[in-house]
Amino acid sequence: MDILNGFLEAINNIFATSGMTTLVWQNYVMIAVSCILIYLAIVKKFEPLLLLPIAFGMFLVNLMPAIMQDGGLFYYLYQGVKLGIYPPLIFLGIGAMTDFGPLIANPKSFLLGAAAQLGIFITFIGAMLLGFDPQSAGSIGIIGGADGPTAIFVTSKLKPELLGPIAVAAYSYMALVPIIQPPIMKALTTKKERSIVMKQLRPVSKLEKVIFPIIVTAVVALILPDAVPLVGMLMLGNLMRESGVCERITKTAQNELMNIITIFLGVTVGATASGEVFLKLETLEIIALGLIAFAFGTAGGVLFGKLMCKVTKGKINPLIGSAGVSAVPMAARVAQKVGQEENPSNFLLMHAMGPNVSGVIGSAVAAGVLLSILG
Amino acid sequence: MDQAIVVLITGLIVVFSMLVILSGVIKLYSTLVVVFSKKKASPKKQKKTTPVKAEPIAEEVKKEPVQNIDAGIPNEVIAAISAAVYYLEGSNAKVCAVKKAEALPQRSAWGYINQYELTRPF
Repeated sequence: MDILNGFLEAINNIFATSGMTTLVWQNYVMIAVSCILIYLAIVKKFEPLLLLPIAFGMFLVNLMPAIMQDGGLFYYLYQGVKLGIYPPLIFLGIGAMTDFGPLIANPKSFLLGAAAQLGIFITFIGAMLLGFDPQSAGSIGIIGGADGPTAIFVTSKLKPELLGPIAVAAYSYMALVPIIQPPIMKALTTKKERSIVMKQLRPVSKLEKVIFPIIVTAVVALILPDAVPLVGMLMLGNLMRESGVCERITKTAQNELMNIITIFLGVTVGATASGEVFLKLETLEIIALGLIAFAFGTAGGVLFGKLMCKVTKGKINPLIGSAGVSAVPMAARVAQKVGQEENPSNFLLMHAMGPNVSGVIGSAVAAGVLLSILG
Repeated sequence: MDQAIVVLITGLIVVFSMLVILSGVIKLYSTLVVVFSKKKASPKKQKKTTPVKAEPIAEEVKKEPVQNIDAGIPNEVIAAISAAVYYLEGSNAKVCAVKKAEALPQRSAWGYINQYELTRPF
């Protein structure tokens, strides 16, 4: 009899603590949303490396909310996000994979990378007008930088509660760059401008490529210290790559480290998207503002490209300005594709890589500005 | 709303200024690197205009060809060995003889390298 009572009590305890009694309707809706994101990641291949862990993190936290509470697995993994450790490590890997040669060969590309950050600050104003507080507005605005780690870094410092919706919005829009950008690029340029063929870039020596990360780190650190974690790690990765004497650790930064951090970052960011946090009107507002950020970023880059085209008397194709959003290398490929539609013999890819990688630095600098003013 | 305008203006000015400064610095050091590279290259070009000692060395080689060559070794092999010796030792060395080595007992190349590593003087 005692055994039977014990058994029934144990079953009762298990049932009482199961998801079927503890979950609310918002959790079930988020489980459905996460399944849609998993579909988009696997079938449609929308940034699967990040979106799949994010979606599964969202799936897990809505099945078992305790996983993100003190003592849960993701609580400890999330400390890397909360303390701002993972995004700079991702930037280390990005720096180890990036060739800044096109930027060094044509330093004017820096200006296009700066112009494309317009979307961040326009969206900041839009968010403030919608009633968001400055920290939330800054976190939403940084979506316009089109840089996932930067968006996560800024949001984790300014408004960690919005990490889930902002990360989902940022990575979804980065995957949609080939759909969002071309109509804006075509609307703001003429056929003649899109057909401009640019002069071949000069070759860049190894010495220039080695000095570049050192100089960029020094200049950024002296003027804007808040941007140093991101820019410094980006440049460290690049210096390791360009020096040619750190092959082992460069390979680790490009591969194993990036993959490990991507997994931890993805699942823990997704795990912040619980039902109570995600299913609010402000999530829809964030998604709408994210689209505005991308659109204005593209427009800012293209319009500045037009200005540079006029100033240089037609030497610069304005399409490369759209690559100033730092979705590397997708935005550069979009510029190449749109340019090739007008002129099949036009190869803009390497010219567009200059503004593209400049946008990575530009978005990190913009993040530093937001952190120093709003942090 | 005032704060929003302040952030907009400050942000755009700081980002543009930072990247303009970076652009200027990179342009400057790239120019310096290119100028120094050109200066280094121009003395080398002067050396190249005066052909030095190639003919005498070639004549020396021709005067004293490799004497002692085992039968069956092709001329191309002799030429390759001579070129390798010249590359490693310069014009001071000359190949005096080329002989076929005895067939070694079956052992992997790694084994021989390991033996060499362990027995060569420190």
